[in-house]
Amino acid sequence: MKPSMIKDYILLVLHIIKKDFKLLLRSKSSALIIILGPILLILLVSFAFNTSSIYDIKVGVYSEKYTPASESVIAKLTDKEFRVIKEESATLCIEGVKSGKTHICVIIPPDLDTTKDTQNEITFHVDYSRVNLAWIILNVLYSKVEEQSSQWSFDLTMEVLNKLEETKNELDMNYPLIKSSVENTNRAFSKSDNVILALSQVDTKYDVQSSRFGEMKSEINELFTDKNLSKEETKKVLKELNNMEAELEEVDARFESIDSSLKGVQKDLSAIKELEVVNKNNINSLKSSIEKVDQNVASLKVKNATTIVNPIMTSIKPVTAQKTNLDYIASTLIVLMVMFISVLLSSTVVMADKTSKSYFRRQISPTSDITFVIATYLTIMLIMVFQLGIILSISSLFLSASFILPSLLTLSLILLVLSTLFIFAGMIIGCVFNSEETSILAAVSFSSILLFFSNTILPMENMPVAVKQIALFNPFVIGQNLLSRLLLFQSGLDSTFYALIAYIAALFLILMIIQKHVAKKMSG
Amino acid sequence: MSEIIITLKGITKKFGEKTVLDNIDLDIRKGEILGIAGVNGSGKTTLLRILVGFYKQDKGQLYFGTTPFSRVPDMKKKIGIATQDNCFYPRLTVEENIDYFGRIYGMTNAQIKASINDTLKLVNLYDVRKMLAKNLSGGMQKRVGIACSIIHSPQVIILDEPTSELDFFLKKDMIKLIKLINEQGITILIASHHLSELESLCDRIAILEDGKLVELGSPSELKHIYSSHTLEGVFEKLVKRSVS
Repeated sequence: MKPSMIKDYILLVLHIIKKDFKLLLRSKSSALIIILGPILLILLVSFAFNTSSIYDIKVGVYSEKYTPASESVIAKLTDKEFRVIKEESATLCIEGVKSGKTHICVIIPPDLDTTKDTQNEITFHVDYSRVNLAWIILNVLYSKVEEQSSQWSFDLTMEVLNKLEETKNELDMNYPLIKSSVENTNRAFSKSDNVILALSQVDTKYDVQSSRFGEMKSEINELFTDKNLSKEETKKVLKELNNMEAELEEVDARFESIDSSLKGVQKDLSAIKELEVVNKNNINSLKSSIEKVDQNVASLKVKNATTIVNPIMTSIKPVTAQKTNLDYIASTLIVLMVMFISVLLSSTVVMADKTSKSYFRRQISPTSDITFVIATYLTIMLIMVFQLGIILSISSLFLSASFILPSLLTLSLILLVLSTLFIFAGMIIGCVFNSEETSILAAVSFSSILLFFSNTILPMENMPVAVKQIALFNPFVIGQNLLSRLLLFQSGLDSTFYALIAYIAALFLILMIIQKHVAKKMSG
Repeated sequence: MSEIIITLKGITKKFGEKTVLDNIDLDIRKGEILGIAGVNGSGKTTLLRILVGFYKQDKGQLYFGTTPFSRVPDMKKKIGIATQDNCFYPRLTVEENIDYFGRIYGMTNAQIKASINDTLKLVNLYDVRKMLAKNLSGGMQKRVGIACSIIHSPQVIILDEPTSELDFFLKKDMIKLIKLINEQGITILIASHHLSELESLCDRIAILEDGKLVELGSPSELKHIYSSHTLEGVFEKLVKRSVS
């Protein structure tokens, strides 16, 4: 091919593109969609998703009797994310979720009290049909209640630990007393032994009858007789002796009484000794108990209430820095937009051309079909570039979408490939169908199928393994994965990118075959 | 005898079981205005569409001069067509339409520049060249269609019902235009069921009936054969003959 021919060919393609643009822009509705569409889309998306929070979640709450504890749970729920509505009854609360008035119903037991030893069970009623939202709300709400519950656990545990500490201190403080009591008891025990021994050695036995008083009296009589003492003096002495004897007898009697008392004392002392043995044993076992308690308290390895309440601390660390929802869903939104705009626009443009009166003149012209295919593709691609340019620029400049600039080149390459793929798919749809209505329906159905078999509505892990394996080849999924890896982790291209290229080649081939078939069908 | 520019030999076309054209043999002479007449469904439009290559004949051969169409280089550039329903983009201006169709017929920038004004002047649309085609009157729109079909300087142009939906004055203008184009040496084929117009315009008229070429000759020859003063009379007699 001569250079002049290539130049002429490029000029021809450019003129077809120019014509397509004029036609699109001269239709007010098309022009509005092309120019305002992406701006409107990005504004709506930014308003909706440029946050990491969820808003205006209505929580229905019911309790037969609101206790301070239940009020504190409700207070915990009432923040900017949740609007708490106190319901009249449990049934109304659950009905509220069913009717969509509230997002979740929380039933709090009437006797919710953390100061009593009762089981406090809070029940959540969730509408799982609101698939993604149900889990988000449940998760957030559960964590709020869990937060309150943990606080209470912490307080209770702190109280137990404080009491335990107090007990230990008291025991430690009184331990020397116990120890001294043991020693004192031992000492008392030995003293008792001594006393018993001493008492046993006391001799209180004295026999007046066996004393020498009779003898003494005879000797005194003899003495008085020998010494010629008066009788009266003798009698006086004897009387004194008798008195003395009587006194001694009395002493003897007292000794007997003392002896008897001593025996009693000895007996009591033995009993005391036995009691002391028991006491000693008791004190010893008390001592060892105290030692054991002290040892046990001392051996407690974890004395921190936070650690006891949450022995395993879970910390969730995102593999990316904290970002807004827009950052997380950017890949899905971009691919979704590229897919819908490309498929719908290309099928509409092809169909509009096919059903226009000028199509006949185009068909009989010497310009080949492939030239028109290339021109249509480039027209739509330029529109895509324009729209994506607006969206990415606004995102980058005004929404602080930090993910765009660092990977702009790779991002552009992926978007170019994705747009090409979906444009060819849309062009095939435009070629195959005969009316604009069926073509639009087919384009929407095609895009919806790709959307349904992706991670956008439900995680693909919910699908049967075989379906999931097929869905992994879904170009929407491939594009979504490529973009999310690029935007969140700055990863490069991988082998799935080449799968998209293969798709493009296959779709182009199919497009050309269908184009030929349609032309043949038209020519009868 | 005039030079033959196009020859149709045994052209047969079927749509499903229905034979729309049945073994048509026809010579088109260079520089003539050939009328193709027939009632609705007689096969006029199908014949024209076979000539421009939109339909492919099931049987028979087309020759440009003595060369089969398939062997003529740039054969598509040699024929232009203006259809009954205006074959252009309503949201493009007159000039843009002519420019676009010139380009897809392989014209270069310079060629377009050189001929676009002449073409616009020829079809009397120069003054409205910047107007959107959809905003033009019916007669002007017909002329836009003709301009689009002649911009690439074809040797033959085909006009399918060029005067349909036009009032008397516009019809007169159109006939004048067709004669003007023909005066430039372009062979013209006109398909119409307005026989009086064909009579005033055409050098020869081919009459199709149920896909068959039933008569071919100059208006005077046909009138002479069928002993009629008008072509309508000829046509009536032909219809009666086929019914009997």
